[in-house]
Amino acid sequence: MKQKIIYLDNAATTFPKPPSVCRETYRCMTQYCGNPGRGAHPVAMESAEKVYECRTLLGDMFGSQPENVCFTLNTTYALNMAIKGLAKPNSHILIGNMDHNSTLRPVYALKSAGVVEAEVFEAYSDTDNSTDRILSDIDKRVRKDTKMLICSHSSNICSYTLPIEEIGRYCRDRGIIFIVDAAQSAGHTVIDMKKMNIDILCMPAHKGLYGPQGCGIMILGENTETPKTLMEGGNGVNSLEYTMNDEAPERFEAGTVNTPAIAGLCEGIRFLSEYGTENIAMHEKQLWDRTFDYLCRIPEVKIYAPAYSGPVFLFNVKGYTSDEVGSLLSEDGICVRTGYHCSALGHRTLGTAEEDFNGAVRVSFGFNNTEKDVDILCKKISEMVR
Amino acid sequence: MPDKFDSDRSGGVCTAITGSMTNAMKAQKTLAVAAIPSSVKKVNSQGGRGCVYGVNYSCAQARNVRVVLENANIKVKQYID
Repeated sequence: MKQKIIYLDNAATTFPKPPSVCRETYRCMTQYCGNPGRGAHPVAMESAEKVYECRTLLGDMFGSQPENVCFTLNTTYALNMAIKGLAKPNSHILIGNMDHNSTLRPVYALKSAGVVEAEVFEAYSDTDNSTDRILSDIDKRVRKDTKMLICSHSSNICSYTLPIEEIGRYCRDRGIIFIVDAAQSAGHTVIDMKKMNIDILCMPAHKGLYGPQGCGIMILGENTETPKTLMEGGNGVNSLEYTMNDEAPERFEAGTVNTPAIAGLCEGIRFLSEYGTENIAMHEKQLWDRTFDYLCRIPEVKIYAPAYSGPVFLFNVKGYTSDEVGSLLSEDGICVRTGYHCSALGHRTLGTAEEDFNGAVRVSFGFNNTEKDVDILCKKISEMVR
Repeated sequence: MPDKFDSDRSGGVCTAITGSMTNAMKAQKTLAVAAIPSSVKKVNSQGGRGCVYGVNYSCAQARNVRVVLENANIKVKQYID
């Protein structure tokens, strides 16, 4: 890439990664990348140590034990494992109206197959997003056969965040399994599974945790029921048996895990610990506020969910489709994502699915972004409407 | 390569079979915190089921190992004393 790049698509994946992440991924691949849990020779053991180290770091970060940390292909796979592994036949499931397609589609598939009934609760409303209003909406939809509630902690199309501690307490009191999609919140805010009564927490390595792509994480709560497996295969345990073993994490890790990505993820987590999740969150919020302060003065710019500042900023420009805005920004090396962001529910909730913009323009900030990035972005947008 | 416990003249090498690599590593680290040296080992054909992992330790520490692992809620499938 010779053009100067202003990368504002961190909700898709954080870029660039911290140098320590890149170094450790490379070091793994050149010095110790055996197959963890598949042998006892020095290279296999060193890679197993690194994988265990990552499990420990994640367990400490999110309030669980290393043996409850399972590595998957990505967040989508983790959510599928959690949802399909615990869905009870003939039960009722609730999901939030800002949830990503990685929650919507597996639940819809179960519903279409007649396994469950499913309903969407009003996680986000244009008028009132108080905790009481949200819990009241959930409460009016909960039935005797409601066995599972899944929601995105933070939206991927705006900076709206749900009060998951209160929702978790509500679910725990009623014996409802609580699954949280932390794809956009892990690394941006503190999540404590014990305190928040989360049964299963799903997230990617490659967004807020600043790790490489190709690795997701599913963390089980201490007393969470053991899910059924979505995939079976070799996992290095009891190889003569025809069935998967009963215990996490290997039960949910059929096939070889992505050891280089896990190695890099260790450094991503260390980077977050050194820099401070709260400092990164504050930085992102400041950039959001700066963007808002500039763009809100342009009448042709429509900003969505303007009450919620944070890492994600969603807007449109009158007279342009979202893709046209994205193309014009790309000409100057400004990287944003346009369209519907794999969020059918989110765009319908915010109203962007029904407008003529073909979705919206999403700007998502990360550690590497600066005020100058924001100023260049805003200047380019103001030039579009002159 | 000799096990580092081979030279322990007070009781030889004992094994706690934990099953998965992850549980073996957890056991090894938990024992290390309790100042009990141990090492992760691959153990073959536990009851004809195939490979599993466990930790080797000095048999002189057998009783302490059981206490430490039980207190840490680490499931041990079999002790080989």
